[in-house]
Amino acid sequence: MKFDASKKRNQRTVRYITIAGFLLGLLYPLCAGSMDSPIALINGISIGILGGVLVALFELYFLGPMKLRSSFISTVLVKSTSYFFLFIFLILVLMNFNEAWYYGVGMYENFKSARFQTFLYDGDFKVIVLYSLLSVSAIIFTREISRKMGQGVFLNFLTGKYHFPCEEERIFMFLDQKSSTQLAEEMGSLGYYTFLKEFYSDVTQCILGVSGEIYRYVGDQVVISWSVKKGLKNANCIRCYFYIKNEIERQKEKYLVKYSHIPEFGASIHLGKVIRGEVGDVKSQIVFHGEALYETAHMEKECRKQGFDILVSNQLLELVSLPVIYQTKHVARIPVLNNGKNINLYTIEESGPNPV
Amino acid sequence: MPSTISQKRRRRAIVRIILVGAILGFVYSSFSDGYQVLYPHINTIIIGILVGGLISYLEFYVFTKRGRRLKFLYLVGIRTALYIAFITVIVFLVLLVSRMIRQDMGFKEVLVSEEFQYYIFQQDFNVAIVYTVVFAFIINFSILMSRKIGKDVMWGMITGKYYKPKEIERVFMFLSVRHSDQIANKVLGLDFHRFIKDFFHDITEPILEYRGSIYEYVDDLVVVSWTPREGVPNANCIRTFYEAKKRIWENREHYYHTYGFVPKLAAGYHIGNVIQGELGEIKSPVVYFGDVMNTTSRIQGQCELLEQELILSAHLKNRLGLPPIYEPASCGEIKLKGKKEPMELYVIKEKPLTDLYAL
Repeated sequence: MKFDASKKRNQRTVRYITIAGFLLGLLYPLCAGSMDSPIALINGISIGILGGVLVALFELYFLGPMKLRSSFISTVLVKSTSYFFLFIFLILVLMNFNEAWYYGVGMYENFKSARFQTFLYDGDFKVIVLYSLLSVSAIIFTREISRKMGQGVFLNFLTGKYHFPCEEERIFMFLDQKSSTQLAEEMGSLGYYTFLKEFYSDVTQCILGVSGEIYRYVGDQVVISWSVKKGLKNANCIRCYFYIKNEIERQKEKYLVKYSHIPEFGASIHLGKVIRGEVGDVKSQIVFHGEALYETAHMEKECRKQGFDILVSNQLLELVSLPVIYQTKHVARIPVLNNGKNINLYTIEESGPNPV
Repeated sequence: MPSTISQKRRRRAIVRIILVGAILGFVYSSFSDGYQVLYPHINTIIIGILVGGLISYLEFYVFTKRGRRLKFLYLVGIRTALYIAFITVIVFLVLLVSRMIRQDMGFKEVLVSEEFQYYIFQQDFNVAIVYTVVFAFIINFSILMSRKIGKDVMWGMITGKYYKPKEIERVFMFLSVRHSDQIANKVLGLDFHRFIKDFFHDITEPILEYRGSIYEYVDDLVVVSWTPREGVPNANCIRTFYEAKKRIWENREHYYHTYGFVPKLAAGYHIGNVIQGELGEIKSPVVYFGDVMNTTSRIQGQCELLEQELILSAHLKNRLGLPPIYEPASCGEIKLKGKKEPMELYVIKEKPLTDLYAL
């Protein structure tokens, strides 16, 4: 329930990788020119689809998480050996299975047949294994790029959706470390960097779990955004803060041992109209421009100055239906830069378990 | 001369693409024909070189600035169609001419010869076409992609350069428009976005020409960085600014006409050690992290206060051999916000015209 959005995301990953596998499997027989009998096509497609599903599952559950722990070389080695054996196994089994079915013989018989043995030792077997491995690396690399570019950004580059800027209403949350200057001095830049990296890595799951999009990191600040629909649903944008808080609370021992400091952070949440579009010919970025961002930054300054944990603007509070365990408290009113509009700021507290 | 630099960059890219083409051609013939005879390799390498040339020609001379504004997938579609047409012609002609030379026959004779007909219709001709088109597509895709995320970053991701954080020295430039508050009040909504887009577009070429890498865009600010080896010699990092200024000046009519003003620039420079690494699993190919970034930002902030267009730290100024046309002038020790010690900052001025004309 909590990480509903994460599950959907994983399903999407499996779907995309499987489709890629299917296409690559289809491409091989086309390229290799073995179109005389349908068996080549059947082999290619079945290996592509099954391989795709397996690669997706491996990446999501076994080999993907290892990236966090080990070095580049060992990740590459482990991945390439496991996929090497996986695909040798897959190709042998599937081709045998398909051909046995197609020619109407037993699987062992087919394996022992002269045709299959020639294919294995003198034929295209090694080329197919090589092709599969190259395809897997292309898939992993593309996925990595698309992750690094941010959610939906890669897809946008393919479709060019934001070549033409458009106006939309979005919810923004600025999440930043408290007393960052002091921490940076105490830990040194490398120490503070590792600390933040760990923090962001813990936080990312919470953000994805409530459908948040990470817009950018600026030093020790993360900017998260939601479409109004996704942010308001389930009060996702408010819950995001509390999920993060609970997650850090749960892991505080780790932080205390490693860094002798628990991350403390403040969040400012606001909503407003922004323009979303792509800038830069080189190193293109999808950016938001608009007053809503200035206003949130303004709120964040206030949040920092007064040391609040969470600040929410009245514009957002009017729309969100807050779960009963959260209580709001009006704390300040800040003028907005130029048009004489005011923003009322509220802080939110989680009430303890009520005595029945 | 800036134009020669960009010519050089282009030439380097073309050589690289043609080389990749030749290698891929050789790989194909090695797989399909083995090493017994020589001529298939010559054919495929020639095809590779020609296709590489074709890609370079289309990418650098046909699909230029205007083309880049089209939709990516649409663009890839148009490209693929064009490529399929051209590649089919190239492969066909190369095979034909190679046979003309080998068998000492005329153009028509080969065309109607049984062996050639057989190859075209029955044998591997279609496979060769599919192979070439697929790789032309991949090369294209990589060119576009590496433009999108930055060449260095893409290469760094392949080689795992950012896996382990490390401390490196870099030159930073924070460049933005001056009076951005007023601009934001005057130019609203979509127009503001278009203005920023135009501004970034104009300063991109100068940055690339002087070997800077664009690190990120934040609102109206672009953060550019150099390794000391790229940025310090020839005062590349400083020249970037003046080249950018020139570009804006060249396009002043467009800015004035569209937005009602011509932007002034403000740049802050600093050099120092930062941590280079990844931060967060999503949306962060590479980050630079460290106090230097904050300091550069503060130095740039001084541009508004001191009414200057370019300010750099003494630290960087001492490393640079400035071209004689530029003169540094100290603006004294200034205490920057969040800093304990005051820093000495310099502005750079171009020598006055009277000095330049003086004999």
